Parts: sequence; structure tokens; C-alpha cells
Amino acid sequence: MNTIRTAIHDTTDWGCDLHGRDLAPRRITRRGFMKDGALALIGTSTIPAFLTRSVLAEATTAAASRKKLVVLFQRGAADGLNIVAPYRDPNYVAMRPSLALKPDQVLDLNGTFGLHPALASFKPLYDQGHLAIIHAAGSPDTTRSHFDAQDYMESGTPGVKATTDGWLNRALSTEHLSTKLSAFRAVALGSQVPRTLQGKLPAIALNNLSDFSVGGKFANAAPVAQAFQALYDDSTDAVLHGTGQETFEAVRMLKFADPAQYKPADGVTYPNAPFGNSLRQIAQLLKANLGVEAAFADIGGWDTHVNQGAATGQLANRLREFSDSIAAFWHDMGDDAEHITLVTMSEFGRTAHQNGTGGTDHGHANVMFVLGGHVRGGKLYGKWPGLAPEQLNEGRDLAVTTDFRRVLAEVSFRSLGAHNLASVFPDAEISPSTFLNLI
Amino acid sequence: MPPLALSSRSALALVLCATLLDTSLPAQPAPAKATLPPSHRDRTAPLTSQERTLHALNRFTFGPRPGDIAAVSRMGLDRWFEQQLNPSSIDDASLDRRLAAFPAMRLSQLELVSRFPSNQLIRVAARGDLPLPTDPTTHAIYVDSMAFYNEDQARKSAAQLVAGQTLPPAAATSGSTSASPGKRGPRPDLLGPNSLYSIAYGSRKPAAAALADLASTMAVPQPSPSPSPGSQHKEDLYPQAATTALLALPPAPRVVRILQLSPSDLIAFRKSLSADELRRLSDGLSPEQEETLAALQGPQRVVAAEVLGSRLERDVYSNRQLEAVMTDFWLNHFNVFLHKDEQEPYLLPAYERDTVRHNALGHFETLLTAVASSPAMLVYLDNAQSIGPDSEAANRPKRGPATSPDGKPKPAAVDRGLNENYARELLELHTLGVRCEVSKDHTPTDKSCGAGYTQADITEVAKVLSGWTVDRPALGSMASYDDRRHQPGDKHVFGSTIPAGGEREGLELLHLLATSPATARFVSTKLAIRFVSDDPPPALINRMTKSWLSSNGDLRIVLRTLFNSPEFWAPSAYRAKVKTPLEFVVSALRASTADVSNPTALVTSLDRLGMPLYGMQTPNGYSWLSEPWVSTSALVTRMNFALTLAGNHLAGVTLPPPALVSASAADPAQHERSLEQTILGEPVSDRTRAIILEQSADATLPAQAARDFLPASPPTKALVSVQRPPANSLSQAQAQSQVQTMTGLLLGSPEVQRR
Repeated sequence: MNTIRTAIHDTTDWGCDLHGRDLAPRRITRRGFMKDGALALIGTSTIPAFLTRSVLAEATTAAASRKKLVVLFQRGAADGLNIVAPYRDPNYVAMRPSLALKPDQVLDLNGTFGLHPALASFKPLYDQGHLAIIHAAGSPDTTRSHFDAQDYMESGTPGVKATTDGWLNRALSTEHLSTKLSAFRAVALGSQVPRTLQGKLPAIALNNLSDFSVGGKFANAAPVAQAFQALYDDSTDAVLHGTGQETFEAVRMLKFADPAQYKPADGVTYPNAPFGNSLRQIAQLLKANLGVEAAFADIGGWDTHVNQGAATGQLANRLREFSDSIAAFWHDMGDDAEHITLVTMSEFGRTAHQNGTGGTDHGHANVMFVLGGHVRGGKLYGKWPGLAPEQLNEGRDLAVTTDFRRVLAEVSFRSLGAHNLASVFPDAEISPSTFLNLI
Repeated sequence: MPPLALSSRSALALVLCATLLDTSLPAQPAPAKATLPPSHRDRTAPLTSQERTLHALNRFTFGPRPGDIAAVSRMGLDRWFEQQLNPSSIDDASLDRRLAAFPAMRLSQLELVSRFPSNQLIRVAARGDLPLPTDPTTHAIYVDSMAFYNEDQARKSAAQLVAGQTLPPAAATSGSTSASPGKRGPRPDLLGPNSLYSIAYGSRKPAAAALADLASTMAVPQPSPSPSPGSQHKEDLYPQAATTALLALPPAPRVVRILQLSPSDLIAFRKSLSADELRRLSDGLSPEQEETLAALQGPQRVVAAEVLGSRLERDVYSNRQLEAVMTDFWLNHFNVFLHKDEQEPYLLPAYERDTVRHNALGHFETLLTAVASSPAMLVYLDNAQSIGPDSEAANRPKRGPATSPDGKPKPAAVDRGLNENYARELLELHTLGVRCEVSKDHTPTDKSCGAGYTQADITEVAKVLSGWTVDRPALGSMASYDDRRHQPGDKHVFGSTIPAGGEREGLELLHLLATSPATARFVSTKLAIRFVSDDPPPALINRMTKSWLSSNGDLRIVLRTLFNSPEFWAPSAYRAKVKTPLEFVVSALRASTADVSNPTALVTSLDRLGMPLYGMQTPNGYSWLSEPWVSTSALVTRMNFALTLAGNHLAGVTLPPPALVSASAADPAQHERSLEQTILGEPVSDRTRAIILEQSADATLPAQAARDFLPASPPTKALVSVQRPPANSLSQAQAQSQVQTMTGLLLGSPEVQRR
């Protein structure tokens, strides 16, 4: 594990930002916004207010800074090598005879790497400097089990099965505030609280904002809801009692704040699919000022063992829904996007070689995206390990050069004010000096 | 919206929310919170005889029906358990009568595919590459489906001309992206929204169906693609006279006449119908005839609807409850996914019936081998496509057209090789368990793992199983072994050698896995988690593992060991398990003796509760632990399900009218106690009873019903202050509503969430 972390020396020339080497120049032209003429890409005559202000002093807590973290999980092991493709690498081309993206298909980033064409809606965000890419990121644990790898990535403790809580719950728990915290501080879209958010701090799971009430439209809904509340309040069943309390508090707040009234901003259309619905509802919760600090959503369908396709096909369809949903969220949040940091991950990558059925099998390193108002985007971070046979992990996968916890630690430190990194990522030996400085 | 307005409004909201939150705290001192679930019983006292019976029923069935406790007590617990271990000795005729509503589920896989052609098969037929069936009914289904397909194609090419783009192939089959141009046109829904077949098949997204109010969506099945009928016949679409004549026909000729309509006439005819005419259209039809009409909407939907509905009804109504519970356990252990591809729904009836249920209480090796050679699993985990890299098929592909008979392009030479998806999950999830995986960072500590397995073992296992495939996937997907695809040579797995031997290699491997101590321990642990507690005692697991190994994985013997273990009967195990959504729904239906005439709304409810049947996309299946199932979202949905069911608002599900409502009105407390016994099998806590009684009295007060959702004072206080009306003033309807409220509250209470 340590070998991976200490072996990182930034000897690459593909424009990575390691250890803040080019921090100073980046901060001046934070998005290269006016200079690059990227403004036109926004497609509006109004310059977002946050771009005209100076960078805010870093606040110590998310609550104080109003910063919010959105965590997105691509379950099933997305094929990072075809998401941000080293499309000119002869090894890449050779190992993926029918899957490799062609130079005229990718959305070129820096002459070496290109975005999958289905990520077209990411390209402007990248060009505007909001979207950062961390390649060859992943877990120091080499398991190729989806379920173990997801577990490790969500617990934030690779190789340790006994961890009972998730890294995001611990990141939120490091704050010590005297004021009462919102029931919506940690919210997951879906019917279950994901591992990432499980732990000491209460977290809410919501499938659908519009039907999150007890009794719905029954004639005697209100008294029945009260009776249910009394039943759960009085229950000596610790688990159901606790979740019951959170439930009724959340129901009350939602009813009052009525997030459904927040329609997407003009011109913003979310893909009509589960992940698009999740992000639309996260936007509604954020706009309703319910006190959300961390939101979680996931998207499945990445386990492309068969016929994953190249520029079009299965993977392309997943990527389109993925990126269009995120871009819609970003545009929908408008000015408020300044306070948002969004990070994506997937449990591991896929084999560098394509397999025998037009797909890829379980691999190792992957690509992560970080999007946000304060992100130093428009560039690739990390160290490229190469795809030559001897550079591959166990001769078959992209090697991990950036521990995913370094990215998550920086993101939680900067957005949630989670300064107690030793408890968020125990034994990871991460401190601000090891950040990639992508925010 | 101007930023200023937004922020001031939001600030106000926050202030108000904070105020409300303060008042929500209970006024009375909070009860002491225990870390253990059961409510009012002494948690250290041994189970009473009554509790033992209830415990057994809670664990080895989907929950007791009224009278079950008494019946099992009379019979004797041991004798009852032995009987459940031998399901064929239990009469299940009442279930069979119910399952007669699902005629397609009695067909063999080949019959199923030919009678209800998949979209893929229709595409082949539309190109003229498939002789049409001669049976007139099936023939009509093909002709109509082909006509609809051709219309879709025409619409699609028109849309493509407009958009100037080519659709990716997946968009043509997904049918779920409503925004895509050229999407499938509406097909006539001849049975109305209350039919079994109104289920929204093809939705991979339970959440998407959940946009409307819960009560209303649970009460009314998915909107059908056809317009809702009006009160008047629409003469301009289809003549009244012809309609009247058709509706006057007896069922059989009526169906024949409908089959004779051309697709465009069929659509016009359907649109012309009034609500009353639509109802008369399906009057008196046999299940087979209903199926035929439903097939005109899309044959594939028929199969999926019956797969889901029949599985649910079996769980509710089978007298062979342990077999049903174990079938559910194995379907989850050997998880497959309904929406894997167009073929998968057709493979599920045989998978459930012949592969899993048939072996659910047999020997593990037989079950494992049956799963390994089942088309459902071969397709789901891709082994059907895996080809040995040095096999004949990889290196000397047969000459022939570039497309296979089902119209898909044949894989290029580079796409001929191993797929290790099944090989990995076979070891990790089906047999040895991931704790036996050896990697750079992990060496198994459990000695049952032996040397464990490595990535190299997984690749070798994939070679062993290369050639285990399905024949003619579009035409019925029969399992087959194709030696041309099999990797030649000896294989080296787990430190030993499996000599080259074609199909026999796979059987040898499965034998190795089935008899491994690691498998015995891994599966025993999972069984103990399902039947005993989230954290089963090691002594119990050791005992079960020993039974497993000494009996060669005889599942009856392993279950008998569990049943006879003190850990199973320990007070700490009593009501220690949180019900999964399926267990919650089925137990509620059983306890309330609900009559299910149409399972559609129940299937939809399971989607909303986060546990769609055959809906877990990933091979690990659903969790047997409490944590994933206890969340804000889950509790809200469970409470609403309870209210919807108790209020008789669930379409196709009827609760029997409460016996002696007038008598109960005279004494609600007495009726409440009998409901406790019915629904929970034992008394609830005094506090729970008080809340339910107060509330069910309130529910009949209009003023109370009109009160705002947000309480001005703590709810428990409000409840106490309400004056109960004199019992004799209740009307029959009020008494009915009172009983419904009590039932709903009990079904949604914390006590009922556990088994």
C-alpha cells in the first residue's frame, strides 16, 4: 500500500497538477474564463455572480460556508480506459482491437487523452475549468470483487472488512456544531442508505420527493401519520425507533419546504432516467435550503463483460445518461454551483485488454471526475502508469497511481471542512500536503 | 428567480423548520432504549411454547395466517417441520387453482418462446427469415406483432430522416427512453388498466414509476398506453353496430374475431370503446383467452407479468411454505436479473420451477449443477458467450453469413475468447465466498478456504466452463455443451489438475466446489443469517457446516440441524430479524387473509419498497441483513403500504370484511386485541395498543381528520386529550373505517417490521 503512495513522483509531461506545483498560476486565472473566451460556452449573457467575486476565504465547516458535496457512485466498475482514453497509445490500440476509440471519435483533451464522445456535455465544463479528471485512481486493495471493492471504497478503508461506517458519514461527523443539525444534512437518493453514508450521523434515504409523506392522500392522513409517529417514538426497538424519528422529522421538513416547487432552470432538461431523476431531486433539495451538506446518488450498468461497444453502444449509452445528468445538474444549480463540489467514483476499472466477448473483465485503476465552483479543472491529475505489458497491474490492468482516498480526502477537507482526515480515512496517512490540489 | 427572493424565502423556511423541530420532541420522558429489538417480553426468558410456534412460523414460512399457530400446535412443531421438509407430502391444490390464472407458466421454455415471441423473434419473422406458426391464435399474435414492428420501423426511419441521425442499436430495443425519436408506437391495451398484464414491463427503473402520489399509484396500476375510455362509444373510429355484434359473441369466437382485425383496425377499435364496452370485451374470458388478447399488446409483456405475478402468489398462498422460503433464498443466492436482455424473461419460469424450486430442499451439488447449466444463469453471467481462446470455434469459425439467424452480427474474430464473469461469481458468490480469494493484499485466514483461489484460478475456471452455452438463443435458449467452444487441454485449479475431458471437466469442478468445506461454511452462514439472526453464533455455523459436510450438502439435514439448535430458539433470536420488503408484503397479505385477484399492484409495491422481484441487477442478490432495509424511505413506504392494503385501496387485492363489525363497534378494544393476534400472532405492547385505540377512535371524527398535518402540540399528548365518542354512536361505515385504521396501524407498526 505504502509503495503505491510513496512511488508517486511527478515525472510526467501530460499536464498533471501534482502537489500544487502550478497552484499559483492556476489560482490567478482560476478558470481561464475570460481569457479563453470560454464564456461563450455557457450560452448566456449573464456572468454567474460567483465568477465576478474573488475567491472566498476557505471556511472551516460546510455549514458555515454553505458548501455542499455531491458524491456519485458508478456501480459495476466503469471502463475508465474508454471514458478518458489514452487514444494515441499504441498499446491501447493493440489491446482493444474492436473497442479502442479512434482519434476522430474522442473529444481531445490534451493531445494524449480524449473524452469518450458520449461525454460531450462534459467537454464545456472541462474547457471552462470546472471539471477535473483524475486518472489511474483507485484502491490500494487489489480485489476484483465488485462487492468487496465497493465496500472498501464506500467504507474508505480498503482491505478492512470490519469497518461499520462510511467515509462520508465520518467526514460529516468531524464537525462539531452547537446548533441543531438539519435532518437533511446527509441524504441519499434511493430506497436504501448506501454504505458511504452509514454511521453515527443520521442519514436520510429518499426515493421520491413527491410521495415522501405518510398517509398520502387518505382522508384521515394527518391523524394516522401522528399515530404512526407515536408508535415509532414509543418503540423500544432501537433501530426502528431511531429511523422512525428521522423519518417523521424529514417528512415534516419536506412538507414545509415543498422542494417539488423548484422546477429546473430554463433550458435545463434532465435525462428521463433514474440517475437524471436522482440529480434533479438533489437539485430540488439543495434549492429548498433544507440544510443538505452531502448528497449521494448512484448509477448502475457499468459491468460491461459483453459487447460494450466503442464510440456507440452499451457503454456509450451509460456515459450519455451519466454526463448529461451531471451537466444538467450543474446548469440547473446556476449561481449556487459555486458552493458545490461533485465527485464521481467506481469500484475499479476494467481489463486493459478486451476480453473474448467484445467486452472487458474486472480490472484495477479507473478514472474519477471532480466538478465544482472552486475546482481547478480543465486538466488531468495523477500519474500515468502506462499501458506497456510490464506497466500493467498483474499484466492485465491499468495500475493505480493515485489512491482514491487522496481525492476524497481533499474533496471532504475543502468542501465539508473535514479536517480530521485521520478519522475519515484511518491509516491512509493523508494530509493536506499530499493533496492533488485540485480544489 | 431573483437570488434575493430565493434566499429570504429560504431563510424563513429554515427558521420555521427549526421551530417545528423543537416542538416535535415528545413531551413525556423518552422510554429507555434497548439495543435489542423485541419490545415487551423479557429478553432472557426462554421462549414459551406459544412463542416457539410463532418463532418457527415466522422463520420457516412467510408469516403465519390466522389459525396457523393453533394448527401447528395441534400437530406438534417437530412433525410440522418434518412435513415442511417434504413439500410433496403437502396438498397444494388451492394454490394450483390460483395459478391457473397464469397459463403461460405451465408451458415448456420452447412452447413459451414460440407462443409469445420476443421482440427479437418478431424482427426475424418480419424479415421473412422465420416460418410463421400454423396455429391460428399464435399465427395472429405473430402477424399483429410484425405489423406493429413494421409500423415502428417506418416511424423510426421517418424520425431519423427528420433528426438526420442514426440511432444506436440499443435505442431500438430499450423502449424505455421516452425522449428518443421513433419510439415504439402505442399498442392496443384490450384488457383495461385492471388486467394482470397492465404491469409496466420493461421498466428497469422502479423509481421512475414512483412520480405520482404513493397511495394513488399503489391503488391504480401503471397507466396503460391507450387512452382511458370515455362513457360513449366513438362512432367515427369504429362503427357501433360492428362493436355491438362483436361484444355479443361468446368468448371464443369473440377472441377469434378480434384476432382477425388488422393492426390499424385493432387500434381504432380499441380507441372507439366506451368504458362499459371495454369491460364487456374481456367478460367471461378464460385465462388463456385473456393471455391471447394481452399478447396483442406485446407478447413479451405477457411472460414478464406472469413470471412476477405467479412468484408472488406462490409465496402468499403455497402451503409448502418452507419450499417457498427456500426457493426465495436460492433465487437470491443464485440471483438472475429479469431485465438482463430480451431473452431472460423467457428463461425464468423454467429457472424458478425446474432449476431452483425442484432442488430447493435437495442436495446442494444437484442445485449448483442445475444452476450452472441453466440458460437463465448462462445468459445472465455471460458464460453462454465465453469461448476457449484455443478452441476450434475461436480459431476456425464456421463459414457462413456475417449475421446469426437472430439478425445480430456475428462477433468478429477478435471477440472470440473467454468471459470470466460467471467463473468469478461462481467462486465468490455461489460457493467458496470472497473471503477465500487470494490477492496481493489478502490471504484467507479461515482454514476452510484451504489455499483459497486466485485470479489465475478464475481464468482457469472460465476455461473449464467454456463451451457451456445455450443453443439458438432467440428460439428458446436450450442449455447445451458445445465442444467446439471448449478450451482444450488440462486445467489447473486450486492447486490440482482437472484433466482434459470436455463437459466432464465442468462437472468435476462443480463437484469440487460443492463438496468444499469453504462452500459448506459460506452457505451455512448465509442460511443462519436468513433464519436466525444478522450475526449468527459461530457454534451454530460450525454445527451446520459439519452437518453439511457429513451429509454431502443435503439441505434437509442442514436445516434440521438448524431447527434443532439451541441458538435458533435462543431468546435473543426471537423477533431479531427485520423483514425484507418481500417478507413484509407477503406476511401482511397472509396475516390479513387478503384475496389477490391481480398481483400487479403488489409487484409495483415491491418496486417501490426497493426490492423488485428478479430486479437485482448485480449477482450478489439482496441483503439478508437489517440495515439496508431500515431507512427513512423504506419506513414511509411500509407505512403507506400498510394503510393502502388495510383501506382496501390496493387494486386487485381485497381484504375480507371484518367479521362482526357491529360487535367490534360495541367494543373496539376487544376487536383490536383480536387484530393483534391475527396480524402479529401475539399481543403488542400496552403503549402501542393505547395509541392504536385512541387513533382509530379519532379516525372517525371529521374534525380530527381535517386537522393540519403539522401538530401544534406533541402528538402523543394530542392523542390522549381526544375524547372517544360513545361506541354505540358509530355507524356501520364508521366501524368499518375504524377497523381499517386499526389494521393499517398494526400492519405498519414497528412490531410487524420484524419476524
